Amino acid sequence: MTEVVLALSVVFITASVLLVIANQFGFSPIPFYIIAGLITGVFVDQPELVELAQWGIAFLVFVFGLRLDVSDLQSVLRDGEVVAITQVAVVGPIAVIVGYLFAISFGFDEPIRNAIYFGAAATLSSTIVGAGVFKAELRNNLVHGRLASSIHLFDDLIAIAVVLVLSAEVITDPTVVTSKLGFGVLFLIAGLFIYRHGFELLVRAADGTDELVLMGSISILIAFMAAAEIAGISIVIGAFAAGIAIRNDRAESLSMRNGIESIKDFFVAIFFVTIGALVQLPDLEGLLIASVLIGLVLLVNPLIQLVTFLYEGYDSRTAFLASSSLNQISEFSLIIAIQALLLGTIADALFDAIILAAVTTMLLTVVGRRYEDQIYDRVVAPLVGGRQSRFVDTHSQVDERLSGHVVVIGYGRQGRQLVERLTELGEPYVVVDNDPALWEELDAECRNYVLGDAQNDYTREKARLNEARLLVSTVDHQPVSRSLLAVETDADMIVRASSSSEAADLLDSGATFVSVPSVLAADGLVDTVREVIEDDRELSRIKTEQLTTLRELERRGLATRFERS
Amino acid sequence: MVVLALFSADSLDNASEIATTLAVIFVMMGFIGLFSILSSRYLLPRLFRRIADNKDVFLIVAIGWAFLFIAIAEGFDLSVEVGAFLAGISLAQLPYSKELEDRITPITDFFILVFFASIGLQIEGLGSLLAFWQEAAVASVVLMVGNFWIMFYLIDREGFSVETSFIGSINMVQVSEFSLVVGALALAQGYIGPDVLGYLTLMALLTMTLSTYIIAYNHAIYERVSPWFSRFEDGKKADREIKEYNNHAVAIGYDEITERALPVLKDAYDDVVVIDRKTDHIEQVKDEKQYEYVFGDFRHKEVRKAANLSKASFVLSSSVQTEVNEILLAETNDEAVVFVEAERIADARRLYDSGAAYVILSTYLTAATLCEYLEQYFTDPSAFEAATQADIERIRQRQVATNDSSSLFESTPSTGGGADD
Repeated sequence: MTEVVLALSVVFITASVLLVIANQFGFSPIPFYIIAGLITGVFVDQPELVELAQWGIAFLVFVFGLRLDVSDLQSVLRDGEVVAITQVAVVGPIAVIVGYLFAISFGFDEPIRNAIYFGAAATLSSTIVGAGVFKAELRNNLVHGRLASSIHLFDDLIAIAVVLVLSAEVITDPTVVTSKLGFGVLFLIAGLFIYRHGFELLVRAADGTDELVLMGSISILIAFMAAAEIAGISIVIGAFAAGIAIRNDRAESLSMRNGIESIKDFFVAIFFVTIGALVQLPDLEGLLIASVLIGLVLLVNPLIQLVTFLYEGYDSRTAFLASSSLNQISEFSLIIAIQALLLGTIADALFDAIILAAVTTMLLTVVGRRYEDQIYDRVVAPLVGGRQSRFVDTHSQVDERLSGHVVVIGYGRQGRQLVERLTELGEPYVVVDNDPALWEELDAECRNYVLGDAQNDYTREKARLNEARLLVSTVDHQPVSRSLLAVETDADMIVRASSSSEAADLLDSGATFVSVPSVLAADGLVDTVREVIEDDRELSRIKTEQLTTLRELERRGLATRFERS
Repeated sequence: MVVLALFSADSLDNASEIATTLAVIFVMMGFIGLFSILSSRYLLPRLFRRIADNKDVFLIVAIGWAFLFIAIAEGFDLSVEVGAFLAGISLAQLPYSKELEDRITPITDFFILVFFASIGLQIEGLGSLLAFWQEAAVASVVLMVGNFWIMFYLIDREGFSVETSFIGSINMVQVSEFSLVVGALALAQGYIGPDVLGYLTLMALLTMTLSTYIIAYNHAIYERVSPWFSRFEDGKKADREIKEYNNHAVAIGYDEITERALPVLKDAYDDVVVIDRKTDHIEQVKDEKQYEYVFGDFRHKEVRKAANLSKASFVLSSSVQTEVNEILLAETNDEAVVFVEAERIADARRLYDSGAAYVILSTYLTAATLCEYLEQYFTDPSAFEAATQADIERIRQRQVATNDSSSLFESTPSTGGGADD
């Protein structure tokens, strides 16, 4: 007991110190957990920690299942599937072959299995790190954030399948593998079966008490894990199915989700630290494997994705930003690695290499993000520029004599309303958007439009920004606003920001006006608040008025047609 | 706590040894306690002000802090429980403690489950549990009755009303789970056998089961027995009021929207409580010295409780998360006027159906305003100039007030700030 407590003390105290540092510099916590592990590994050697780390895996996957949204799956099918499949189909086999060559030349036992471990690590990318880094982009509905998160989701699902297959003792025997897959499918079916009524039943059984609902959901998790253990498949599958079983989005489940999140954070910290602690000082073999792995993840993966995205019709900046957010090793690969270590089927050198490469790539993602615009401008843009211009040409329609017009950046809900108003006023305009999914609508609804990246010179030239009288950007993304303001033109510039401090910076950089939704919305709101406080009979009038407005907006097709702002 | 520390000592053979051990324990606890108080005053506020915005780091550092004390306690040969307790005390002094409480409680619940299950496993079968069943039954009755009267006497003496004293004491008739902690520790140290642990457990089971029903029906019981207790009545006794918000206004998230509405609310209501999950926002509210504040994520129950949401008369939420707003609408009373924010029309409809007085759709409000500005730009340039200048002034003012542009965690959500998770 005391040994475990002492080991946990070392784990958490080291992790805390490093997290404070990570926080200071804006890094993701995961690589720092692993580094904490590398440090603590020197002092503590606790088999009990590995047991606790398994709970970290279970909760990590459980929460993944708990959050999995069917509509997310649909968006994967809409956006990312070609790229995701191409990546898995191209990089996967290459990486497995490389892994196999390593396994043969270094004389690992079970070369095929080790090759698959290597392949999985090289192919899959991380959700937590990626999602953390791209939270803002996702929130603002930027195309590259959406693409990246779709691919992450796809990779995670692949990872679960890989875990399932690898839990077979003999992967070369098709009957064993099929029986594992069969069990896995059964678990998923059980999870989906309970999903419809699972949470309601739980709430009813617990009589609505939050604590009991939480404990009940953990009991379901443990039951699924135990069943997985009995069926001889990985607990990862059990935890995933359990997450799906009690998935619920409603407000009543909020405190259960919060609770599970807390418990997850606790065990996940132990999991990542333990992983670090299990790493030995790598020898030459390990370092070689690690560097090849890093090369595949940092260079080959993004390259394949970039090319596929471009082929799909995304502009080069979106393609670059989306693919560069995918260049780190997935935490699921770490799960695969530690499970393999527990089964005793992974070569030590390979295990060390995967963990080291994971730390390196996760750190580089955060660092790289700060320089990605420079990297794009210096390296990628010159390479794909010509192709880009041809694409913009074939996907745009602009009157060549246009001048004194308004350039509207972004064809989301705001953009559409602006275009409507401009049409009413009879003012000429050009709409610029970079989402290929909107191309047909642009073509049908706008007289002048450019499908391209607003940060790209050719797009701006195409939109005749130099001749324009006014530019209105509805895109809430600093780099876009900044690069627009840097253009030398006489046009007035209205850009968008999400906070006043950001807006003030943009005003200093020369914006005519910056629309900050909360500032613009506050005007009307304060009046409404005052009216209501003075006389609460006003409420029903205001409410009726607004419902009428909403109906009007919906009638004009401005509600959800494409959920963007 | 002292008993726990005492049990963790190596030998407790005679009275003088117990006395010295106790003395040592008090000195040690004094040292750790002093460290805990000093750090809660000087070190922790600075440290946590930096990290409280990031919820993962916040939780892990708090746990790390607990383990630091556990390790120190272990180093002094005190029990780990004592260290954990003292760490908790120092963290509780922080303004962020409500938020932390809500993050830590589920972890505690999880381990309590494991702990009680392991107590059950340590008792060797039904035989051990029932070895002293008669004694346990008698002790339970004595304990429940005795506990009730002692507590009643103590609370009554403090001058609370009879009802409060009665309800307060009848809610406390069960055996504390600490007795099981002590029991488990004693068993581990070999002071008691499994039969005694069984006896303790049986007592806990009996009293806890009974007290569940007693607590559920405490007011009904009081009504039945109140005639007998009327002899304790005395005109001077009255419950002291704990300051509790009532008929107040609550603002969720401190952003441009709520900031401008706060003065209006302050004019109409005595108390205006701001809930926010960002340390610098809370600092600003604190600096204005006008409004009350609660640091924390509105998703967390303790945070909502601290703002006494159910008694609020006016609530303004600048969170666009529908689930947050739905909880809000469910927890406020029917008379309260609730303004919430939504991103999409479908969400707005749902919120109206759940009882929202007004749903702020800032995307559409912005679009509408922007369209108006656009029209003015072409038709009435001076009006455009005037309108945008007024907004720009507000932006500049707010910028001076916030000055948070250097934050590395711009992207972390501030529920209830206006940002989306």
